[in-house]
Amino acid sequence: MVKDNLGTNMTNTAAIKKVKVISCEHSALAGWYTTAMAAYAFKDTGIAVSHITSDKEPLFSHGSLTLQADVLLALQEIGITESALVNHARAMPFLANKYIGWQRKNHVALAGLAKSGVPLRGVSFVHYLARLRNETNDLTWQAELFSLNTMCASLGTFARPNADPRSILSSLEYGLRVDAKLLCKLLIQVVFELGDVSALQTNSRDCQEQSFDRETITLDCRTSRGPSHKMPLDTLLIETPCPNEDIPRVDKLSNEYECTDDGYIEHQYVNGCRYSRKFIARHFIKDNKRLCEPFSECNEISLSPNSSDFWQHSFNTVYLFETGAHQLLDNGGLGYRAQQLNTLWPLIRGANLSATAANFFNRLSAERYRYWRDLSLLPVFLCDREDTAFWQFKANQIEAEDLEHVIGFYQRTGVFPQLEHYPADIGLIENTLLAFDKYPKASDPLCFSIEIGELELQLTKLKQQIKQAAIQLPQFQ
Amino acid sequence: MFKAPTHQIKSIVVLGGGTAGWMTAAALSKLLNPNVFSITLIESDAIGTVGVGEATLPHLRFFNQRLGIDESEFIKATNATIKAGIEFSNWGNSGDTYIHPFGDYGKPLKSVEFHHYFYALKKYNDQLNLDDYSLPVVACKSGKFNFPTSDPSLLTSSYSYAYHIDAGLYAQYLRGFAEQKGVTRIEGKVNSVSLRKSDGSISGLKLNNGELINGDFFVDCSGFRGRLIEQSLKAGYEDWSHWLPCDRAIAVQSEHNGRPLPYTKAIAREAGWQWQIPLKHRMGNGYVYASQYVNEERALQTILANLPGKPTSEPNYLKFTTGKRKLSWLKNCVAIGLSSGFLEPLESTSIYLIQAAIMKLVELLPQRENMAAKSAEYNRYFSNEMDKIRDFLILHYHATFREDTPFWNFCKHMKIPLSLEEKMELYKEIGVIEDYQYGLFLTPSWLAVYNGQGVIPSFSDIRVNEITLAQANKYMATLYADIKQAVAGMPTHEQIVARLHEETICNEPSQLNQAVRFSLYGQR
Amino acid sequence: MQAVNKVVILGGGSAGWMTAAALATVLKNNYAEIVLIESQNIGTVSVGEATIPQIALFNSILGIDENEFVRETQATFKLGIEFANWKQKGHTYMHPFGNFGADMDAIQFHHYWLKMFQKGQAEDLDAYSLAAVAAKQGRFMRPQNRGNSPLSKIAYAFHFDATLYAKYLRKIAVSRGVTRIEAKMEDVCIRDTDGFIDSLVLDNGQVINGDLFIDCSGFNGLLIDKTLKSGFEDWSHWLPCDSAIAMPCSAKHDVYPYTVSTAQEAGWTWRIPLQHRIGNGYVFPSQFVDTQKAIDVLTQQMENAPLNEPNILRWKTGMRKEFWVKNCIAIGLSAGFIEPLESTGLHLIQAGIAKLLGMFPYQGCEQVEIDAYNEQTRLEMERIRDFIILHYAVTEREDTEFWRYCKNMPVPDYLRQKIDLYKANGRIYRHGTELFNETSWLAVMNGQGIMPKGYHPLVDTLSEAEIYSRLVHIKQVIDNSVNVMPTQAAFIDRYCKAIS
Repeated sequence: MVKDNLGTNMTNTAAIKKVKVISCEHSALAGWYTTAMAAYAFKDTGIAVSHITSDKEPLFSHGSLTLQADVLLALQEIGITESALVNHARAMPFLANKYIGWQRKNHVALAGLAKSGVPLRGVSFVHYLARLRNETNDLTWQAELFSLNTMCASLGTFARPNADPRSILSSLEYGLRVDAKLLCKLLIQVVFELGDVSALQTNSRDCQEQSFDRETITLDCRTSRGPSHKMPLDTLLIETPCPNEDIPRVDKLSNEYECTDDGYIEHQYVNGCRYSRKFIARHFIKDNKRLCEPFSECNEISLSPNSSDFWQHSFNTVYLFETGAHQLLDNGGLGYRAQQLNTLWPLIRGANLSATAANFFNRLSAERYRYWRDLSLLPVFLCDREDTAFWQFKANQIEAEDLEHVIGFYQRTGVFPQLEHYPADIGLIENTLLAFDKYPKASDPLCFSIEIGELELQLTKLKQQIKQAAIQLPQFQ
Repeated sequence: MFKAPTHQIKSIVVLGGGTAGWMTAAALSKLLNPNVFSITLIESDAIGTVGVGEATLPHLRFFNQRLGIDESEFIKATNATIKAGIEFSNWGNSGDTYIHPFGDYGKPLKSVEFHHYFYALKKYNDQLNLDDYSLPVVACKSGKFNFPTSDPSLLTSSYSYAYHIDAGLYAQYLRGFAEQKGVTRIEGKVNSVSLRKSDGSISGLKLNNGELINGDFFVDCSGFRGRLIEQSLKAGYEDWSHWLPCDRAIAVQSEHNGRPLPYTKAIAREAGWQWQIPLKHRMGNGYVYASQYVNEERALQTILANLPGKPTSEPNYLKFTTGKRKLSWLKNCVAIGLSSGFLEPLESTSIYLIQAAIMKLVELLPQRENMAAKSAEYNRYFSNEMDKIRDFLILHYHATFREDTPFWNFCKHMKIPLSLEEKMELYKEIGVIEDYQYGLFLTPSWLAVYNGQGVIPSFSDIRVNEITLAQANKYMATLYADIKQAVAGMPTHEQIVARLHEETICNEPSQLNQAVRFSLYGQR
Repeated sequence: MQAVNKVVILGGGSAGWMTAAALATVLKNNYAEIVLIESQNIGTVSVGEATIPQIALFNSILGIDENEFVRETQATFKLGIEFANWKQKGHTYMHPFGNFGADMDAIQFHHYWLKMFQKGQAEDLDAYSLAAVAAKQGRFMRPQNRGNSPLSKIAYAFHFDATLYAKYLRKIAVSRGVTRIEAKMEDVCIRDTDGFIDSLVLDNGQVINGDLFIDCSGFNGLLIDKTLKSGFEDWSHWLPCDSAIAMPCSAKHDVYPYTVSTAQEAGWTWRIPLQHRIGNGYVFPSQFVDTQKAIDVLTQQMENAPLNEPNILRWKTGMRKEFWVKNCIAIGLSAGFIEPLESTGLHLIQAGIAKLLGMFPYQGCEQVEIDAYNEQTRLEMERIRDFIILHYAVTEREDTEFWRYCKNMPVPDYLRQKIDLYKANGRIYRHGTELFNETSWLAVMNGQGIMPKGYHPLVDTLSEAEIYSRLVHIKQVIDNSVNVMPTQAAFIDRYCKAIS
């Protein structure tokens, strides 16, 4: 504490002295991520950050997870660079999501991370594509043919995108998949480098009881307590141990989502490993022996819905990972947390942990959560299957007003409504819709200024260009 | 029984030839394929337009660019001067003055917003003035201006600019533009509107000379009354006058009192506020007031007593009810301009709202089969724009210490919308300004008004502790010096205006990039 | 208020084209533009029409050459209607055009006849009608200029093919400047200021503006009712027939110049002889007769094999509460429907047109004129309605449920009075401009079996012998006159044979 620190005079009335992060089994990554971000956010502020678990050993998460722009940026800020992730967390890029068997058996569709096609005359590409499909009735015109992401993903080629807008390579976007356990280790390392952080493994009451201590804010990152049937998928099964050998020949640059009779299985590849997880509605599996199939062994985690993260003002406690939904939310889960923590820090750094701040946080969380939940439910929502008890059940389970509006509006108009808590860049959502054949039924009237024959010619050319570019890129590894 | 129409939308009819009407006609004629769409505009010389000398927002530059309108030509055609902000006088307290600039204050440091440092430091040094850390504010105060640069690392890219224009001349200019692009102008007044039995949509307009104008889609730019959207389609109106009680304006033109300033003035008066908009040759003046608190005669006296020079026009009296059209797009009719709602020109939002509406309309250009879906989305969008601006305007009236007149006493103590109440509360407690993805006024604007009207946060982000007082002082001093230096190198606004009106080539960077297009503040 | 510069007619059946042709003829010098919208995809109801003599007036206004008209429309001449089985099974009577006998000393003929008939000293009433006698013998000619001879007073109408008539009028209308648009109407546009119709939106995307709209769209009344909500006054409790089947068969050579209406167990069948075929139809109440039964009955009655599949029609008898609303006038079925028992369909169209021409809103639609039009039309419709009800309500038949219902149903007051007045002393008065005159009422009231208790007291001022000889004389004159008439077939062959 330097005496003439700028804010001393102002903030000495601020109550908080301590940020306590609680994590537990299955939420190790959540806990360490939050602790690392807190340690960074409160560095040199005189506020102590502590990490508490009820278990004896530091816990690690299992499996893999995906990291996209927001999270990568946040990690970079605390000193975990992309190369650190590659070198120490087996990070491997991915370009697309691959949906297997969602529309019919063995059907495969790819949704790239980057927007497909290029806008023509100020009108977004999908309008032209939709027009071509609607007018020629030729449904082989697929969005995935116009995306360098999906072409590279299926050819197994990769190069880092560049920023030159004239180069086709600038249209490539990638995310990273990392080993969760190794990422935990990196985060722990950062936590201690940032200093002023204590990590406690304790069975003490600290973990169990709510604190009335006005000087401490508790960030509770523990996962939820029990399954709930309000979410169509309430149970997560993680394959253990992760098999190092015998990875089938696959397109490693995509994350795979395989539709099953009672949910879906996700496969992610990080260097040398395939991680698989299965999402099911527990209720529909009567035979416990079938629970793990096709895995030989697995861990079971319950997921429950949560309308939002919640700042309980009277107990100075923020339930950050209170829900298990972040597991389900894998592709966006950490993105959501990154957003939430960015909102949270200024709110608890500024003042006397006011009810106004808590209310604000809770309102914003509820609004944002809807988007992230929608995003994670998207393929399940879009799936038209009704051939099993689960898929029949699912049809009436999802209440996603925003998503319904977005999809409905998109299908009618080819335009995405601008919702405050949906990102402005909806590339992946759009690609997912298109991968599920939810093409717009109408096009922007502005795209009718071109003759249909001419349009077909232009699109054929574009398709070939993209394919050529994808072929010419080097094979990954 | 009756079938809704099936054929595609081809003919678009714009009713009303004010700023809104001609901006719409010009944009549609430029952006829509003339082989497919026909655009007709109906206006009557007998109906006056409300154009009163208009202050604009930077977005207008993007509008002009999309239409391919050359900036210098535009400036000459509209008698324009440059606008880099608005000066508010007597709002927080009689005698107070501040500028709301088109630009940022300082820069965030270690992901903590600048104002946290500013207020932390102000505890030690009461002389600190937030104005000094915004380049456009400093420039405005010294009557200077230069065009912003586009390199985000430079201080000189940290602001944007707009214009003061003669809106009547702008409409005239756009009329020429639109007619050249094939817009048919028809002189006439609407006698009756015919509505389809099947879906209640508009089929055509009958003019007082008996002429019939049929169309597939209608844009109601008929002003306050909303000839189509309200009188025919009964869209409904949400009255906001309990929050924004001003309901009259008197506009009058006058001579300049010297060189034109690069900012608009908004001077609070006993029951409203007075505007001064400097054009090249004259000053646009007006008094926006609440008739409940002051009568017309007294309002006229007030404005005439406070003109910067001799009046050059007869006073023009306007009446309005602040609020928004409940549905600004209903059936096959979209209301653009005053017909979609009225917000007093305190923050120069009228032309911006027109432009935003036009661009959204172009983005959501409907076909018959998705008309309902598109109109719903449009209304959601436009309503959000209006609500957010409304809150920002209410802030100006509510955040005041004034209780010296019944009007100000009412404003200070009135109940405000919950959204604004929460927002102000959050700021007062911990200095956090909630930003949004969709909405016009973001952090710098709210900060300008908060600070200018005495809303000061109780706490700063404790991360300001990370730097020492000395470091902070030095940082602020450097920033101020840089700004002063940058402003010193600028020509005066007068010089710039003179040059703009003489030269044919101007300084505008070729194309505004995405970040600047939709921002009030330049590169952020 | 706005001058009428453009008239839009919706629908191209008989009503539409009659209106178009009349307006085009009368509104000379391009006074107003006339547009008619019709679609070939919408069938017209025309099923071979019988008319009443007033049609000649209409044709003459249009300046139509009658022989040409007869040729073009495969028409035959009509001197009246024979009603069979109406009073009772096996009984027939004629409702002829033209007078019965001759009035004497300012007293109507039938008073004399009533007296003598009751005493068994007169023949059936029909025997004193030239039209009835000629019709029965298949004879026809146009009236001759022969002073007091009944041959000067021959009143006739036509049987013709209404589809051909519409086509014929279309040719005339188009040649006189009417614009025909082939399209279906999709939508109507209403002026927000006064609720007037502003324009019609067609399925080809065209928007047709107009100042005055004539709704000839048929039963539905697309403009008058579906758009302007004129409302409907239901008369089916008095006239329960709500369906018809029509089935033409080939013509016989000797075409008789009258329509035959034969009462059935429920409803009635028509027989309308044209040059090229015979129109047959069965008007029936669906409540009492199902469609298949109706087809069977009709088929059995037809003298030749049917030429077409049966055309089935459904309606509700009654009228619009208003016929002219704002700037829309309903003409034809859109104004109301009365079964064709007395061939009044085309007449109502013609009457509507005549009133429209009389009150044409040159300077815009004035409410007082609208009210007058509606009042006149309403009275006209009601009087015709009453005359039709007369046929059902005054019957001796009680052999089926249908006829029992008709016989016992309460009738409109006006009709009640008219019957009672006749029953008392044989008095018949024509009310205002009511369509059917004393002769018609007499023919039907007498034909349906009403025998008044008395007759005009002044009849007794003549001696019975004197009356008797006069009746004999009248009868002789009629018979002699009929004898000089050619057969209708010969007449047509000579003057107006259709080119088949």
